Amino acid sequence: MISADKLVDSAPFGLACFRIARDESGIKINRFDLFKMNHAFRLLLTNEDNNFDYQKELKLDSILEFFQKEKESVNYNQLYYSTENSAWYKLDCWIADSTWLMISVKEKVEKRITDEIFAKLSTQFAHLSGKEFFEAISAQIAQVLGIDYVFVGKLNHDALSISVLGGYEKGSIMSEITYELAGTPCQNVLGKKLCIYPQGIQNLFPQDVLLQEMGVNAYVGSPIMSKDGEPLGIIVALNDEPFATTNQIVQIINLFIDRVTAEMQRYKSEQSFQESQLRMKSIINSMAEGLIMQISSGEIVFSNQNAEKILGLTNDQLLGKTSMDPSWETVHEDGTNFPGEEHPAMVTLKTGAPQKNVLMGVKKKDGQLSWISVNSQPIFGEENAIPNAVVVTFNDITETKKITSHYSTILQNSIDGFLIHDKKGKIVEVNDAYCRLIGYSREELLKMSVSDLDAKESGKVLIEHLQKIITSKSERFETKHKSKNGKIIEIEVSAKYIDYGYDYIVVFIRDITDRKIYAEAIKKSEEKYRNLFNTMPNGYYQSVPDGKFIDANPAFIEMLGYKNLEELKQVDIKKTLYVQPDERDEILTHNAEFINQEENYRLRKKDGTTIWIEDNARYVKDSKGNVLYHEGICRDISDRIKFEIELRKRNSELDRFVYSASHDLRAPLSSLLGLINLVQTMTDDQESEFVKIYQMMEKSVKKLDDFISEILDYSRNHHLPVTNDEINFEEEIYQIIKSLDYLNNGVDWDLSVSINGNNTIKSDKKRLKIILNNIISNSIKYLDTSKQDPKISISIEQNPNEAIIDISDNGIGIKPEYLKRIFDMFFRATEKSTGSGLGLYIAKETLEKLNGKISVHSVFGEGSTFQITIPNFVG
Amino acid sequence: MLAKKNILLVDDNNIDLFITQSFLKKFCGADTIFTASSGLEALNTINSGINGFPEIIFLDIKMPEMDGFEFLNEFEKLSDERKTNCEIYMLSSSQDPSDVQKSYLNPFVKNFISKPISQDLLKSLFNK
Repeated sequence: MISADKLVDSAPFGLACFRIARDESGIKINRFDLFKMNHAFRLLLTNEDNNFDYQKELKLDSILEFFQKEKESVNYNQLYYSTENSAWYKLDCWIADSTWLMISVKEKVEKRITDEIFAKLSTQFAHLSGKEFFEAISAQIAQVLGIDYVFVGKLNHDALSISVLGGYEKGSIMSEITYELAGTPCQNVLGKKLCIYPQGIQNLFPQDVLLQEMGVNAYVGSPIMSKDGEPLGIIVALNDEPFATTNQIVQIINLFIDRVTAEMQRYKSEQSFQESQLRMKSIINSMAEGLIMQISSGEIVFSNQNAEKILGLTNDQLLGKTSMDPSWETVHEDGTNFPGEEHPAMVTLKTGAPQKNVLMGVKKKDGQLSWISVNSQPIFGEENAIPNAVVVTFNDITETKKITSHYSTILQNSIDGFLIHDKKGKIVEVNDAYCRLIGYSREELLKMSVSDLDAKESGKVLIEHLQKIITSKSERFETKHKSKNGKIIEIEVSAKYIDYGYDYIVVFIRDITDRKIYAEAIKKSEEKYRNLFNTMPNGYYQSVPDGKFIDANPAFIEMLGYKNLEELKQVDIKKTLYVQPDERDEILTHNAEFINQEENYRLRKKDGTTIWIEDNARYVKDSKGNVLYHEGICRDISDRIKFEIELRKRNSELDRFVYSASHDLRAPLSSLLGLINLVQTMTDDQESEFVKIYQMMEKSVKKLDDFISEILDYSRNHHLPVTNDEINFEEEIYQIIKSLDYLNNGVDWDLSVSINGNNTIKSDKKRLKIILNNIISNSIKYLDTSKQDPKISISIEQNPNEAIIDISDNGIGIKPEYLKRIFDMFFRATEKSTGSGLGLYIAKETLEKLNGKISVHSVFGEGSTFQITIPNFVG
Repeated sequence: MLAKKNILLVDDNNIDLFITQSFLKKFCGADTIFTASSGLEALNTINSGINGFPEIIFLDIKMPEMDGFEFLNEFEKLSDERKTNCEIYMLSSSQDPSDVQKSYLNPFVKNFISKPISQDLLKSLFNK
């Protein structure tokens, strides 16, 4: 290692070497003693070798101070102005081997420039701040150094971008742009060091679009750091051409960096102050209350938007005005004058005591009286007992006031009890109705609290309830009040908390003692019905259309074999309960149109067996006609149905037996008839004895055949159900006439049929046929062949209720003494009769099944008229 | 007229078979008449094809072994050639309305004739 001595001598630049003197501990530096300085150092700083006070000129004190504080490994830079040379020099100071302080001087800073800039810093720039300062200083640096761009930018809150605060761009002011740091040289600068790229900057940072656009080639950037070492921003110099004198640029920037840093810090705090002011202002303006601030003289110095709105004055009109201003027209609640010196603001200013909820009427410019509830809060200066300002807040409670004044006029006459109490329950107003109800006078009540009256809640519970009302704003509940004479009164309470400048709870009270009594009575009566419902032998249910039960009585539950209602409610009615699921839909559709429709259907019990139900059901609908539910009263008719099924089976068997018997009886007869017919065709001589005998045989067999048919009809009439068919009389009558053709005995007779009325009736077609067949066959059988024009006329009158059928003939007629007996079984009225005596009997019996009537009018020898009345089954 | 028509009479009552045959021959000119005494026999005859395929069948209802309606069920299952050109007339002394109804519901039944058969009816049905 070369000695300090030699180093100083051989250095190609100015170098001075000082020995370090330390204290006893050997740690703290006490002073620097000059050891040696070389010729270059001497030459640069001074021409005079002798009179150079290095201690003063080199500011060794500040160097000492620096190294006492900072690490000894750090370099210290210091500017030195040589009066001899009128030039600035930069001194590099460092400590070597813990023993020597070395100070080197390389080259002088351009004097002209520095002079100019420093002059400007102290004169022109001194009054500039913020953007203007940054612009001016950027322009200055750019101009003196002859470079294209210089700007100062702040690091934004996101620490990812830079916003230009002020800059110089080729002869004009740079626009305020913001750019992302990523991929730019500035990113390196913010790594807390000076960065110098004398040329080719674009190639080094290809991602920096801005650099490309500007077309710059050279770059110098220096970070602006706070005292705490946090980066605040950046100062950047750029040039289209490579830098000629990089050192000079760096020196200049270093000269200005402190001033720029100071301005940056000032700018930043100003910004955040302004931001917080804006925030505060917007908060104050968005307050629901009006807010004004008055200083000790009573003068208004601030007002928010709501204050202006409530008082009906502009900001300009408010500012400077005092409470004592004669233009205020303010009144108390009772209408008396409210002088300015008594306004809460003035009271607070005078006494220092805040004022709460002071009610004040303010006459606005338009003559309207606004009611405001005013609070005032003092602001004390340092160590002052008397406030130097007051903040006044107020609400417009004109509407609330209107309501309460409304209350006082009409509610005094209200039949409902009414009272107002405060948050703690103390009564402040009460109406006559409540006084009458409770038995206390108004004066007594105004000294009382709700806790004195409430017979249900007291103490903590009551306070909690009041708190609940305040939170929820309003509540409706039932409670009991105790009257003066000790009677407990059931009341319904509707309480409303009015906080708008009042802090009161307004309460309506209704005596519901009677209602309670009624409710009790209704409850008892419902219980009675419930008992009936629970004990009645018929099943009762309520179900909803989608197929679930909502209620059922024990009989119904038992009927279906379920344990309880809960179990029954789980049942899917359609799928589980109905033996034929589609049947439910059919019944429901059917029942939608009918009320109290009776339906029979099968249901499956819980154990899987089926029962028959007779259900008297209906829909229960709301006032708009929407179905609420479906209810029905049911009986288990399984036994009845079982018998009915059995009976039907028996009847059907009987029917089959009758037919079978009649067939077996008729079969040989028809064979015989067939043979007789065959024989008759074998001869052409219709007058021969044989033919006549065969004809007699035929008649005799037919008589037997008819008799069998009659017995069949009779039997069927008794056991077959009555059907309901549409009747076409014309067709029926012609069919009958045709089938009776064989009866005519070769006699020609006339038939006339007239059918009147457009209504077709409904009845049992087969039975009707039996009836008509018997009457008409009689008419044919007993035609009077001695008369010239034997005839039968049938007329039918149809109306919506019935059909009246007249069958008249001009036949032999019936003797009067027989008329009463012709409908008797086996009665035959004439020796001419070929019948069995069953025909009219069966007709009458059958007609009875149809609820019809038959009457006869006959004159012996002239003819007979039978009248049949058949009711229409529909209707 | 029923000349050259293949006619099958099905009835368990020989007298009725005789009567029907006589009427058909005498009044309708029928010349090819076969008989069967039950539905089963009729079915076998048709299936065997020895008498050709009937064009007209007169069918009684009440018969042993296989009654008229049972025969109709089996007849329906026969191959098309055996039944396509065949008309069936029920011929019965039954007065049971359900028998009449059932007969008319069957697509192969042309008419229901109540015994005894009559000259006039036959003429009106076949001699047009």
